[in-house]
Amino acid sequence: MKDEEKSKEQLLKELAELRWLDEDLKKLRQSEDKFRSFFQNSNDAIVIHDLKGNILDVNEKLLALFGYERPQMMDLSIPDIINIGEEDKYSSAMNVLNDEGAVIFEIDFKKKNGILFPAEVSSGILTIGSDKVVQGIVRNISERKRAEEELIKYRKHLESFVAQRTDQLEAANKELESFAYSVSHDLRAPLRAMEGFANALLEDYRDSLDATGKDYAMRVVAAAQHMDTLIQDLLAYSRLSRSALKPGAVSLDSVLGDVIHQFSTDIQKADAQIRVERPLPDVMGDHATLVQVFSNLLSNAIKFVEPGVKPRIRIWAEEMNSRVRLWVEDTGIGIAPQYHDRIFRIFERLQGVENYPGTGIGLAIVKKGLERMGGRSGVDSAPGRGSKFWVELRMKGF
Amino acid sequence: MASDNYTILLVEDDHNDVLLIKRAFQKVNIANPIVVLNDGEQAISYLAGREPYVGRALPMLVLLDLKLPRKSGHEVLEWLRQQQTLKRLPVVVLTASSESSDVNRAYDLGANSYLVKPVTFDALVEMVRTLNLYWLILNKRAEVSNE
Repeated sequence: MKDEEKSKEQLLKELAELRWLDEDLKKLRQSEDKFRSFFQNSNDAIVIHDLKGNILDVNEKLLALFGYERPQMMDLSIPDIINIGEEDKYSSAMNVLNDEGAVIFEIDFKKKNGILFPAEVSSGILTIGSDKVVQGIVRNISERKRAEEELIKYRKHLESFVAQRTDQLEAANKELESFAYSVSHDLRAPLRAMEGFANALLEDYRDSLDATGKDYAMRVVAAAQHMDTLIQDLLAYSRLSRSALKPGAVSLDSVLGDVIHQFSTDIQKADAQIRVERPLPDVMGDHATLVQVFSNLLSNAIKFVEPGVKPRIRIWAEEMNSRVRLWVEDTGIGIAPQYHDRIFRIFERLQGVENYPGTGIGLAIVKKGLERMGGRSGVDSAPGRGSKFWVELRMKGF
Repeated sequence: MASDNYTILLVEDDHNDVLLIKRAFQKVNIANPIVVLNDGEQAISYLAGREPYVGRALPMLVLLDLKLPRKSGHEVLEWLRQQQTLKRLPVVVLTASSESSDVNRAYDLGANSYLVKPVTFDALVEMVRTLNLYWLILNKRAEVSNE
């Protein structure tokens, strides 16, 4: 009886243990199912192989990717499905995997039908019981590779296109330079002859020329001189457009000093009064270009006055944060507001050459010069009230 | 003796300019003889005393245009500055170009002065007057002998 009871107790205990085992097994099955469904339904192609490369399991995605039937695939090893010549890449990736437990590498695979495709493989080591296996996630990167190659092709195309355009531009620029050179040299030679020999006529034949003859010769002289100024202004303008400026800190005091020195004869002739409110600040610009700019502004201020009026010119600077505005104010004839934009365009003139000689290039030089130095220019004026021309530049250090 | 020479060598291919420059010299009453050559090769032959210029008078001043047939003014200048004592000859460039590349190159090659031909004849006369005062009267000459 005691034995019987004991065995009954034993039986119940064993029964309970069996139930637990059954529970564990169920749980294990569930987890196995979960894993299997995850493995099978994964969007990535997954292969599980041993350390020698023998394929142990693959999911549907991988079969679809390679085009094999499951039984066929299970007989293969990794070296069978990579492209010939890629073995070294594979074995060195496996070495890294051994050392670090995970590796990502790129390799070319071969499908069942022999077609190759580039892939990125992300491998990790799984420990199942005492066995170590490798799980590899295979991603076909043909699209990415194609895009990369396309990008490289485009870049190369773009580079060669840019190089070609640069060559063309350089050639055009060279041509323009030699054109300007020939203009400065060859076009002026006939002018010297016209001016020189018309002058010789006036001097050596003054007794045989009547008043009309002298007038004609004088007109030849005047026209030649005007043409020369025109050529020089055009050259200055084109030089400004094509030459490289080296902007640096420039003292406006020294620029204005140079300009006023250059104009000393004209200033005396016109009996002009010029007041520069020194010290002027230093700006970022190019000295030679600034001399050109202020030469044109000053010569306009001296030139465009009512007959008999002595030019009074005031030059001062206005500092505005990081920028400087330099004003050139005159007591001249002034400019109606509707012409304020127009006068900065090349060859635009508001006055007849008879009253105020000029080429219509001066203010275009001012505008172009300022643009090349990253500055601006403008005017504030009305007829009879004089003009206030301004140029704006970055202050030194900004 | 070199210092007995008062010849001015004018290297200029534009015949109008030659006439006008000569006229300007007359206006300023410069009596120095002027030898005119029309290209860079002639200029080098003359300075070197080669045929047909054997026994030529050494100039006291060279007035050199830059844009010349056969050999440019720059080339003449470069050649001249490589000669033994001829290199001491003062050279005044007289040209139409005011391009800074031309100006800089001329000075790099050893020009003593650089003048841009003015368009008006009056300005040319003024230029020649100053040139006479400075280079022909005031300036102290170096010894230049035939090589």
